[in-house]
Amino acid sequence: MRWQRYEVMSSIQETMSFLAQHKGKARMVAGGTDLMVQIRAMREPEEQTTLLDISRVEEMRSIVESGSFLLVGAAVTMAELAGSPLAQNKAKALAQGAGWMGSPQIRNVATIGGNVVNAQPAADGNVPLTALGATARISSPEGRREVAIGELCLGVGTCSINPSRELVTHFKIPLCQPPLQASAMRRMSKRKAFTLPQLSAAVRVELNESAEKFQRVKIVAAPVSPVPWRAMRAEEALAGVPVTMDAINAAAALAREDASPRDSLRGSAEYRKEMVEVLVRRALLDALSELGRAPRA
Amino acid sequence: MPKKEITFSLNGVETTVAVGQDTFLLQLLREELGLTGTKEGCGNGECGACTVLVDGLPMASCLYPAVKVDGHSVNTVEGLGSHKKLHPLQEWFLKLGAVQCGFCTPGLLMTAKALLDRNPNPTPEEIKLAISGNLCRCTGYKKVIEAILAAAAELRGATVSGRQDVEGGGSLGRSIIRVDGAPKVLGSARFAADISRPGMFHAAVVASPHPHARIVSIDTEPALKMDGVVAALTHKDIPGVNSYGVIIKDQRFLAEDKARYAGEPVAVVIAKTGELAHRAAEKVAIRYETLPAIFDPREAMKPDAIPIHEKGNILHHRKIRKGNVDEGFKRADIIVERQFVTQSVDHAYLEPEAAISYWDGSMMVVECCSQGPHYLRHEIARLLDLPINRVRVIQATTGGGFGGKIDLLLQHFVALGTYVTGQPVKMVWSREESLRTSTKRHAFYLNYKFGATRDGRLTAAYAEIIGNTGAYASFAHAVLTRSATMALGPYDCPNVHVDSYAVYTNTQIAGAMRGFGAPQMSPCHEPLLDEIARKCGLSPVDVRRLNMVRPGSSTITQQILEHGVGALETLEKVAEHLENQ
Amino acid sequence: MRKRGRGIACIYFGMGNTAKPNPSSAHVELAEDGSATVRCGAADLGQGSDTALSQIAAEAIGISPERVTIESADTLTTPDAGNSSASRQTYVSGNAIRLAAEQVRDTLFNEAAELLEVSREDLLSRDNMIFIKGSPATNISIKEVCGKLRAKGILTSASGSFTPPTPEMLDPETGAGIPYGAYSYATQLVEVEVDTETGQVDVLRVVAAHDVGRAVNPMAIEGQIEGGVVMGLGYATMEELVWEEGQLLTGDFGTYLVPTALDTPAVKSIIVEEPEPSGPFGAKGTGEPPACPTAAALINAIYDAVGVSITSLPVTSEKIYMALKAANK
Repeated sequence: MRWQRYEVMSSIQETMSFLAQHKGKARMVAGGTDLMVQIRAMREPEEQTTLLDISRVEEMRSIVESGSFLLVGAAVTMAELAGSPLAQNKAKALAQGAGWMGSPQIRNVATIGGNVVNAQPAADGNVPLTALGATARISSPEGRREVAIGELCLGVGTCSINPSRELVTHFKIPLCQPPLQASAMRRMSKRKAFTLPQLSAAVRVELNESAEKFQRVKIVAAPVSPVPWRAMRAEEALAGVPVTMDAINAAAALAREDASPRDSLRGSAEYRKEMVEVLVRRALLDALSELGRAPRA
Repeated sequence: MPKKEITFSLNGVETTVAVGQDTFLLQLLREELGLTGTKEGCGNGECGACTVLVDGLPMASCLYPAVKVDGHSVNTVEGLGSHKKLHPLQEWFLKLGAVQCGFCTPGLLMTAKALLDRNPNPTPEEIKLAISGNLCRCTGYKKVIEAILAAAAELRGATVSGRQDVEGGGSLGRSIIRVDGAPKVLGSARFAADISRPGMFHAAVVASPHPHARIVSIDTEPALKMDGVVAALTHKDIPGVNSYGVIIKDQRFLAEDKARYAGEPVAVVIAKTGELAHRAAEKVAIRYETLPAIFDPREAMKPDAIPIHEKGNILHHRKIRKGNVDEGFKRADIIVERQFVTQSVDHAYLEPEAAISYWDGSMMVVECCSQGPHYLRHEIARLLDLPINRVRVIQATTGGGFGGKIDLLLQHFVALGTYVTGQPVKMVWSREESLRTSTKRHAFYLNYKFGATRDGRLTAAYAEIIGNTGAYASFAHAVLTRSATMALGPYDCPNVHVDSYAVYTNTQIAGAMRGFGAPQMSPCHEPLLDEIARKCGLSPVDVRRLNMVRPGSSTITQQILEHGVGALETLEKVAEHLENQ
Repeated sequence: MRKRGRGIACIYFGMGNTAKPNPSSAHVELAEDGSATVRCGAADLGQGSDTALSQIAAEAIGISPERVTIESADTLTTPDAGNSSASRQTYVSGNAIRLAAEQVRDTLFNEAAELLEVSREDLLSRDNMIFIKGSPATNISIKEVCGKLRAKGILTSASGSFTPPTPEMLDPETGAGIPYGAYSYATQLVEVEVDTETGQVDVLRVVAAHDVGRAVNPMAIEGQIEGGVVMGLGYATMEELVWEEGQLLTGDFGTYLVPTALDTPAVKSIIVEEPEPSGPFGAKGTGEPPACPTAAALINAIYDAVGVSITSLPVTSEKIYMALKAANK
C-alpha cells in the first residue's frame, strides 16, 4: 500500500480542516508528478498517510492581475502558466520556465505550487519566481502569512512550510511590464525537451525613468547551490549603471566568478560555472530586447 | 483501507467501478478493466507510453491516482476507433508507416488526438512539441509527424493520398501497410505484459548488489514466511544444468557460487501479486563475501588482474593480418593516428522485458518478448531438463529489440516458477530493472593508425579494439569478430593489422546491439579519412571515392567482393546533397 | 558565434552472422482458393519482417501480398529461422521463403502448363494470375489452378531453407575468409550548427543513403533508416549509462536520455539498389546499417564547423566547449 486514503479537496477551508483532523498524517498533493515518483521509489512507503489532492481547489486555480501584482494560484498547472497571456506579458520568465518543465503530459498536471514546494535547486518554477521577487501566500490553522520565495526554499527538497499543517495557496508576483520592466529566462539541457536543466538563468530588469540606466536587476542562476542562487554582486554592479554591453559583460563575469556549482551527471562544475556567464548575459539581452532596448557598445 | 466507488465517462460510456485508493489510473485500466491498450514503459511519467486523455488533456496515467477520475472523463486508445472504422489518425499511422513495434503507438495516438482537437491545423514544429513527451525508439518520429499532418488534413476535409494509392501491381517495391499494423493502432495487439491467465502468480528477481562477490549462503525462509509467497527459488531448484549463453554457456540461470555484476540474478520469488513478490524478494537473506572488482577492461587484461572467470579475463582475441602492415606504413607518406573511447548504452526499447509461462498439458509454454523464440526454447529445455519438443516459446508482439531481446533475460525465471508451482507465472520488468539487468552495447577503447600515400591512397591500417564485454560473454565473440571485419570501414587497403579483444569486467553484460561494433568504430576511422583528405588536399568525398571498395576489391578478410557493391553509389548520392544546401 | 559544418561517414555491414552458418527455414502453403499461409520462425519486433517476408512469398508465387497470411515466431507452429539480428531476416529468411514459395509455384506451373498447353518455361505469374509470357491475354487464375490440383489430390505446399553462401570460418591467425554472403553499404551526411559560446550543437539535417539491394517495402526501409539515424544521434550526443563502483547511476528515463521528437533534425533517406545476386530478388535488408555512421558524420561535421575533433562518445556540449577552450579558438 502506498498510502491509506486519497481525498480530493474542493476548497482551502476543507483542506485546512482535513489537515487539522489528520494531525500530521496527511499531506498535500497536486499534480503528483514529483510526489508519486518519490513514493513509488520508497522501499517502505508511509502507509498511514492520507493524501489531500488540492489540484481542483478553484480558489487556487486562477491567474489574475491584482493591482501591481500578478496573483497565481498554487494549483495552476505549468501548462496553464506557460499558455497564459497574462503570464507571458507580465511575468515572462515564469511562463518560459513553466513551458520548459517536464513534458506536455507532465505540464498538464504539475502545478506551480508543487514545483516550488518540492524545492529542487533548479526547479523551473522556483528559478524565475526568485528572479521576479515573488512571495508565497501560505494558509495554516493560525491564519495567513507571506514569505519571499527566496526564504521559502531552504535546501534540496526542503521547504520552510510544514506540509501537514500549511498550504501554499498563491504566489504574488510583482508585475513586470514595458516600457521599463522585463524578465527573461535561459535554460541549457542535454536534450531539447523533457529533461532537467544543466543550467538555468533568470533575470528581472528594471530600467530608470529615462530607460538609459539599469535601475534594479535581479539575477538568478541554478543549479548553483541547494536553492536558486542570486548573483548579488552582479546585481549590485548593474544598479544605476548605463545600459551598455560592457556593463552586461562585467555583470555576467561577476556572476560567473561568484557561482560555485558542483560536479554532477549533468555537467562538471567548471563547465557550468562558465555557462553561468553565458546564460546570464543572454538572459539580460533577452530582457532588454523585450523592452526594445539594445545596449550601447 | 476501503475501496472507493467512482463513476466516470470511459470512452464515452458511463462506468462505475470500485477502486483502491492508491491505485493508479494505468493499473485500473490495464488490470481491472482489461483495457491493455495503454502501456507501461517506465512507471515514472518519463516516456509517454501510458498517455490517456483526462478531460481531453493528455496525462501520464502511471502517475495519476484512479480515484481522481471520479466525475470526469477518460479517453483511451480503445475508444479512438474500431476495426470497422479506424479514426483518421489510426488510418494514417498505418498508411504512412508511423507504426513499427507499436508499443508507443497508443500513447502517441492519444496525444495526437488531443492536439488535433485543440489545434486542427498544426505545423510540424507544433506537432513535435505536442509529442515531445512521447518517446519512440523505432521510427525516429518523422513518419509519426507526417501521419498526424495527414490525419489533420483529412479531418479538415481535404483529400489526402497515401503511398498505397499510387501503387501498381506486383509485390516488391510496394509500400504496403504492415500486415500486423491494425491491432497496434487499435490497442489490441498483445504484448507479453498484456497477457494474463487464471491462477497466475508473479515473479520477482533477487539480484546481487555487489559487482563481484562470493555467495556464501542463501536463506529463502524469511521470504517464504510472508503471506502470499508461494515459492522462493535458487540454483538448487534447477532440474537441468545451471548454465546458458548464446555462444558459450558461461552464464548461470541463477547464480551459484559467485556474483559477477551488480544486478546478477541470485534467486526468484514467486507470489500472488507482483508487489508481494518484490517485497518478499527484499527479504531473501543472502550472505556475500565481496571481492575486489574490476571495471576497466584495460585493467582486466593485465596479467595480474583478478580472474573474473576461471579461464581469465580475455575472453576472445580476433586477429586480422593482411599483407605486411610494417611495410605498408613504411610506404606511407602520411600517417594519422586516433584514439577513441565509446560509452555503454542501452537499447531502451519502449517495452520493458516481460514473459508469462504455463503448462499446456505436458508442454511448457512461454509467451514473451523475443527476437528469436527457437534459441530461447533451447535454453529453457536445458534449464528444465526437458526434451526440446516439450517446450514451446511463442513470441508475443514485441516492443522493439535492437539486439537486446535475443538473450535469455527473464524467460527462465517464469518457466522455473511454473515448473515448480504448476501454475502460470508472469514477470514484467520495471524500466529500472531493464536498465540495470539487460544487456548493453559494448563500450570500446580504440587505438587506430592509418597510412596513406600523398595522393590519399591507403597503404596500411592498424587497429586495436578493446571491448568491455561485462560479466558474461553473451555475444562477445560475435561482436568483436564482426568488429574486426569492419574495423577498416568500407575501404580497400592492402596491409591491415587488427587485434580485437573481448574482455570480461564486473559490469553489466554487453551483448548484441544494433550495429555490433560499427557504430563504435566509425567515429574512429571516418575522422581519420578526413584527416588524410586534409593532408592531401582532397575533399572528404574524393578521399573516399579513391579508397572505397568496388567489385574486385579485396576486403579486410581478403574476400573478393563481386556483386552488390553499392558503396560508391551511396557516396555519390550523398555528395549530390553536399552541392545543394 | 554560431558556426555551421558538414561531415560525411561511410560504413559497410555484412548481412548474417559472421562466418558461421545461420540458416532459416520456412513453410509455404497455398489453400484451395489461392490464398497462402507462410510459417516462418522469424520474429518481427517492429522492423517489419512479417510484412517484407509476406511480400517476398507473394512475389515468388505470383499472388498479391494481400493474399498472404504469415504466422511467425512460435516454436510449435513455425520452423526455425534463427534470430532477428545481424540484419539477416530479409536476406536469409527471405530466401528460405522464396525457395519454398518457388516450389509451390512450380507445382502450379506444372498444372497450368498442362491446362494452357504450353511448357512451364513459357509461364509467369503475377497478381493472382498465371500468364503465358508474351501473350498475357492467355491466362488462368491461381485459384482455379489450385482447385484443379486439389481435385487430383495434389497439395500446394513446400518447405524451404537457406543459409548464406558457404561462409568460411575466419583463419585464426590472419582472419582471412568469407564472413558474409552479402554486404550492405551506406553513406550519411550530417549538417550541424555549433554555438561556440556554449559548445551546444544543433543537428540541422541528415542525409542517409543506404544500399539495400532491392527495396521490398520502401516505406519500411525508410522507417529503418529514419529510426536508425535518430538512434545513432542519441548514441552520438546524449545516451550514456554511468556506473560508479559497478552501481548504475542512470537508472531511469530521466537520467538515461534518448531523443525526443524535438531533438530530431530533418532526415532524408535515399534508397540505393545495387542488386545482391544471392538475396531474394536482389534484396539484402538494412536493420543495422542506419545506426552505424551517424556519430562519425557528426564528429566530422563538428570538425568542419569549429576545427575540434572529439575523441569520445557521447559528444556533449561540455566536451566541445572544453576542446574549443583548449584550442583557444
